[in-house]
Amino acid sequence: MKEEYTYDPEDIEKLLQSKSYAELIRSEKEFVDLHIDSEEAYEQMRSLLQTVENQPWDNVPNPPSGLKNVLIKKHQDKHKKSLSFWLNSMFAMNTQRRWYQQPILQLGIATVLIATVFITLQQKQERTDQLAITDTRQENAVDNKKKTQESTPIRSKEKRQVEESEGLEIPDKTTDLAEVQIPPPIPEISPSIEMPTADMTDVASDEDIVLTDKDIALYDIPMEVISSEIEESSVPATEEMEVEMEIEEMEADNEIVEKKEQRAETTETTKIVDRDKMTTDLYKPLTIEGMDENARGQFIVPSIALKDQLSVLDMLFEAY
Amino acid sequence: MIFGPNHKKLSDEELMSRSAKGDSKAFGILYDRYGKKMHAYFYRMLWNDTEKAQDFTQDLFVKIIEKPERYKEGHKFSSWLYSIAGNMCKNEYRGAQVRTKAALEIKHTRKNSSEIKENTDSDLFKRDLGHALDLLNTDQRSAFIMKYKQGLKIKEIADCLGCSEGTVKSRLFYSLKILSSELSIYNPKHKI
Repeated sequence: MKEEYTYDPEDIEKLLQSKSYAELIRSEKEFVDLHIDSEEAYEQMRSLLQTVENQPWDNVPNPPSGLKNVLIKKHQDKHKKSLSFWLNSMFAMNTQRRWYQQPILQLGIATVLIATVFITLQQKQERTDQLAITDTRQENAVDNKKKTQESTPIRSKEKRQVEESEGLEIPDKTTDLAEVQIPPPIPEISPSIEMPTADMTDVASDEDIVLTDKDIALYDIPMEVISSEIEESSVPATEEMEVEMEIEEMEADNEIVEKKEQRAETTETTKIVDRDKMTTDLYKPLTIEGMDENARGQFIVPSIALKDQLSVLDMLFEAY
Repeated sequence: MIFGPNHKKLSDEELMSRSAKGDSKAFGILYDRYGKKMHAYFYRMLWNDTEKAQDFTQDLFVKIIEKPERYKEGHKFSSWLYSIAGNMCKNEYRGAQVRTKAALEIKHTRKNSSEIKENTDSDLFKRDLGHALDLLNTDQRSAFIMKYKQGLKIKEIADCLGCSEGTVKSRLFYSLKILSSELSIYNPKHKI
């Protein structure tokens, strides 16, 4: 039976390492003879191989000990330099990289993205604040409406149906009241308020005159009232009006004389008048019973007529 | 690891990657692993010239420092290193035209060794073996040194030389054949 070769030419090394030529079997000898000329050559190769493998055949000197330190220093120096190159490449266009790998472009994109996110967040925050205010107002409005509805008696639908069935026709105003906004009450001003009509000469000559809070309250007249009076006075005076005015003047004179007498008694106690207090009292807002709190503000500012009266008071004080 | 990885336990490839990023300690360990081997390789490949071996070893590691990007991750580091070293030797051969010189030297050696052919002194054998290696072509010599001096496996040699394992085996076989014929005087059967 013809044996087939199971070896490749390059595998002859295994035979050299393991067997002498005499130990080779027939198939191996046939294989070896194909590549090696003779038994002698085979043994020669085998001897060389064993020598090379089994003993150190090369006395190689070791590299110098300082070489490692030199190389490590070089390595450290190189990477110090590379840092500066890296920094440079951050801001310079590197031609070896693609356009989207350029550091400056990447930095730019990153900056734009960060700025966009920041601005968006800021705008969102502002919107949220505005919404919060709006919500509060709406809530207040809803609360007020609820309070109004609670305080207002509302007839139930059932009651209404009963009333209708009984023939009682009662106008349903309760629902409207909750929606209607009640305007602030207009203060009623008594027509008995009188404008001071004291003669300047008389007053100036009287050194004992001292004004009290009560008197000052007389001057604390709302602008609207005075203006209405001015309007009235702008109407051409009739004879009756002139007579009335004369009567009023006389009454005022009488009042002043009476006051003179009263104050003469209390001169010692009320000689000193605090001008500042008077001024502040003068500018006090007018308080009228039944007047709405919101309506008070419009009476704070004194009218032009009051200012003129102030100047009169100043003159009085100077004379005093 | 609190104080970083133990460099000595890292593979060659990991050390190379770290070295490329500026880790000098990793580079130092790579040198410890391959410095002596590469020096021996150059010494053997460059006609037992100690100074040349030292210069070439230094140049090889400087290349690793200067151009680490030439090493591609995923490849075996030792193969890459030996391929660079082999190319350096080839360039040296082209420039020096030392083959003729080596041939002359080996003839001289054989003449001397014929006088002491029964002498199996290892020093003489080593010297003659060194000269006989110079008669091999670069690839054969590289394969022979890597296999019998550096202790690389056939696959690793194939990676280093960029050829198949069969080619490496074939080169080794022909190297042995040439060397055995050149060093036949040391064969015991030649004893008179």
